[in-house]
Amino acid sequence: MSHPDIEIRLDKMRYQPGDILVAEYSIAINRVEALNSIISLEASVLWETMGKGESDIGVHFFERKKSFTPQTIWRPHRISTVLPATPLSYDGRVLKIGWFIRVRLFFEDGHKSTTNEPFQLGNVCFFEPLAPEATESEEPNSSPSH
Amino acid sequence: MRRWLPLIVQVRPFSRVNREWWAGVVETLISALLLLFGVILLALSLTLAVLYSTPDGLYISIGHFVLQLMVAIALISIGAYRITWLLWKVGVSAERRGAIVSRAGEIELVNEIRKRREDLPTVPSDRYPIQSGEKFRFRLTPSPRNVWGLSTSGTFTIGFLAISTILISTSVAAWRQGKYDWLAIGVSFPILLATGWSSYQFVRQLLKLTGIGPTTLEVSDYPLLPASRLRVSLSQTGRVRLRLLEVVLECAEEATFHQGTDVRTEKAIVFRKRLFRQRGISLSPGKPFEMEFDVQLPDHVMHSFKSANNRVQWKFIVTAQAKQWPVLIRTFTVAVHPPNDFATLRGGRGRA
Repeated sequence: MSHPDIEIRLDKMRYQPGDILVAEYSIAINRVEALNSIISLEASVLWETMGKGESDIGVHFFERKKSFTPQTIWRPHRISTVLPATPLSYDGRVLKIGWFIRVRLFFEDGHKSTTNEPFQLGNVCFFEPLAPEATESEEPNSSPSH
Repeated sequence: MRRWLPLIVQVRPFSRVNREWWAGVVETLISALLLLFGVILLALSLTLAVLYSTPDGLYISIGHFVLQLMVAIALISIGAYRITWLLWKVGVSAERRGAIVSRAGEIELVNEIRKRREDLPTVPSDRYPIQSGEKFRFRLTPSPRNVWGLSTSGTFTIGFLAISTILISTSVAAWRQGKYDWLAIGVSFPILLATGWSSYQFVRQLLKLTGIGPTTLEVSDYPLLPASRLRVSLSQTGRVRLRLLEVVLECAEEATFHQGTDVRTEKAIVFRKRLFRQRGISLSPGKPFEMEFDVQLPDHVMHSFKSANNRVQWKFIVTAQAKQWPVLIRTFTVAVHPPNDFATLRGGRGRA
């Protein structure tokens, strides 16, 4: 059975904390049998850690839909949420934090179809490589009070 | 002893600066000796009671025996109390000791910081509470010192000392009866060596923990923000002459993962900036070394972060090196918030 295509559209790719994220997702289904085999649909806005460590996840927005008709599944679905202050997107050395909109379809036969659309929250920059430390004579802006 | 001898030879032991240092060392040694003599007396009293008592009664009067036990327990209690007090005295400044008694101001400060963090999911709460400072508004709390070395060596010392006392008193008792308990004599030697070594380690650990006094760091603003500039006050007390005193600000990523049945943590330091460094500082108990300096955080740095398996942690690290003394490292974990304080933001919405 061919799984339907999920398309997610964001109004922009970079957001700041407190911004309202507005997104649409649509599901392209060619056959009615495929529509009937969908048990549920989940849409979420979440962050996920990647890198060396075990992956952690934090769900900021979540909705689940169960009953569908051809009309309700074909029309675009809208998501709108106020983005939180943290965690900001981060691309570190052993840790990366990414934000996504994730849409999942669950089918009767146990299969599921997942589509992620990444976006950036905040503008944290990756640190530059560690510079050699200042020489011993350098004591920036220090004032003794001994 | 090799580590301590040059200290005794090279410094002027009875100069005004070193007098209090010596007083502290003597106090530490006396406390340790009281504890160890108490253990020896207790083990000796119990061993002799077992060896020489008959079904008719103890080898000495009940009154004497109870007195011996009481003296032994008193010596152990006084030694343990004095050691605990010394560790408390050097680990906690006089101001903090006073502040712990009256904490009303600090509760207000902690509540203020907590309120600002309510809307910052994944920014960890302060592991050690922030207190009111004297020079600046916020005093950072250092992570507790590692006293495992002291407690481990102390436990081994007490155990070995008790065993060696029992073995020696058994051997002497046998010798007085014209016999030789070769087994007890043979076992005594390695146990005595172990006792000597563990006693040396115990006293060394004790001097290490009590030699350099508390480090105090106060900051003008808290929590820290990217691109912000703040003033830091450093105060270091102690009884030694420091070869080097250094303060750095560090940001590290930590990732925990499973490898087979092991749980491993990988750490990467992504930012490190030296804030202060000075050589040749004489510390005396009545006159702490004090210094103020500025910190400028870079723009757009990552905020403090904590999830189940990953972490971004910012901290001040104070390193002190004294001649013939183990290197002292004290860390002050701090919270870095995202650039804007979104105090009015609320969490996500959704329907399940």
